[in-house]
Amino acid sequence: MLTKRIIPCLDVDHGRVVKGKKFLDIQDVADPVELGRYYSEQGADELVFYDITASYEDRDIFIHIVEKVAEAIRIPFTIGGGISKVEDFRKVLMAGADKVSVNSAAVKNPQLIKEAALRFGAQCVVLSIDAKRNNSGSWDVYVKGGRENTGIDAIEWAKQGQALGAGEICINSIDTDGVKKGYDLELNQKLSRLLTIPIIASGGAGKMDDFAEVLKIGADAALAASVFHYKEIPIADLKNYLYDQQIPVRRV
Amino acid sequence: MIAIVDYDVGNLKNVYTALGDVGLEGTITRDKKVLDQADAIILPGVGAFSDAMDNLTKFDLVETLDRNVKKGKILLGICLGMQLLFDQSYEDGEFSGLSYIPGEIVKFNAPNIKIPHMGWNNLIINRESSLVKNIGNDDYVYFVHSYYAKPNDFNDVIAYAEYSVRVPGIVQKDNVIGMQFHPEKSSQVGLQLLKNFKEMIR
Repeated sequence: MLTKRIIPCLDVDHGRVVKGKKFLDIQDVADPVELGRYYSEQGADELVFYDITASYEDRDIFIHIVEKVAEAIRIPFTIGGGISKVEDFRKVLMAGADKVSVNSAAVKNPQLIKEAALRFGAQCVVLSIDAKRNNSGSWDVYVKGGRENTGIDAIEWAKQGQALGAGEICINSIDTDGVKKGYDLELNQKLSRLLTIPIIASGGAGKMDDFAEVLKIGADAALAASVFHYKEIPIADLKNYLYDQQIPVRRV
Repeated sequence: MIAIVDYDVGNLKNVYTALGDVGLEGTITRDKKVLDQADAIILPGVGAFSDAMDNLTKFDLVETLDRNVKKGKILLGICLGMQLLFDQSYEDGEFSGLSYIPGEIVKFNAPNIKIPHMGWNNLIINRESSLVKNIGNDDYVYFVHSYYAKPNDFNDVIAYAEYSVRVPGIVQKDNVIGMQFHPEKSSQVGLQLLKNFKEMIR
């Protein structure tokens, strides 16, 4: 049976893993390669590395770290942050990444999703969406690390991303990110019902039951950062907890 | 030495690195002489079926693969590389494959599943083979694909996963082996499978 995935997310800034609250107050955490290896051994199903400063400082992507991660771990990993052209996809894939996550640049140029999917396969194109609730009961797409509202409807954008050839959608809720009171269940449920590609829920995990809830309502994977980085939730314990809740998981 | 066929279909380094984990020396190559001399050949691959076949033809590698398979050399196709081992694929048209294993490649077609089949799924053993030594039905491997193999003879399937249908995970016909999932990305279970592969070469 296909299992639900648990994905630790490592935000990388200047070669170090950091974690901010609502994208601010960034605190230094650890070495990305060491932390990646640790999570892989603990039973993480995949890893995501975001170069969090790349999108606005126009910094070249951290290819060297990608290569070191590929040598160190034997589970799939995704690279995101500052991906703006097909050549960026090629670079990180050749450095050993399995998937590439694209966010602001795809909003600016949706054809990027199509071009990358045609060239490298849909399986490696992850459309990452930063979404925030608005006053009319829906969600807006934000770009540039959550600082700019595009006014685009997040659900519509996710559907368009799927139509353009994205293999997966990572939906990050800005409202719940870093707050640790659970994922945005309504948003994840809506997307899971509407889309035929897998959904990764992101933003808001605080306790083990938060993972169980979002996976039960349809998300295919749940992503989190601080609860793992600060060892508040050991991945092995989380997998056992989910297993007891009859959620299919891979336990190591 | 294990030849990893380089035909411009994505990153091959991860396969190379994982071979090193089990003490196998890999060489990423499209040199026919190297392929002829290799102890075994690995055909990796991601992307579209027709592009991959076009590239094998463009680099004039089909005949070399045929010759080595006929000689009895072990050939391991991984992911798209496994799909190429079959007669034909219906991915965005109808295209011929290498025809080492009778059967075809078709798209998942069920209303309630997400496509691609992406993530960790467990292998269910269909028949005994040294390839699945120390592998049980609770062992998970990492899949990512939208099309799957339908062999004419299900006895060519060593292990499969359940995903609306029985999805062949490991296939084998004599010296030709295929793995639909990524052993190089499947943690300890993947390493065990590569160890088993190594044992077969000796």
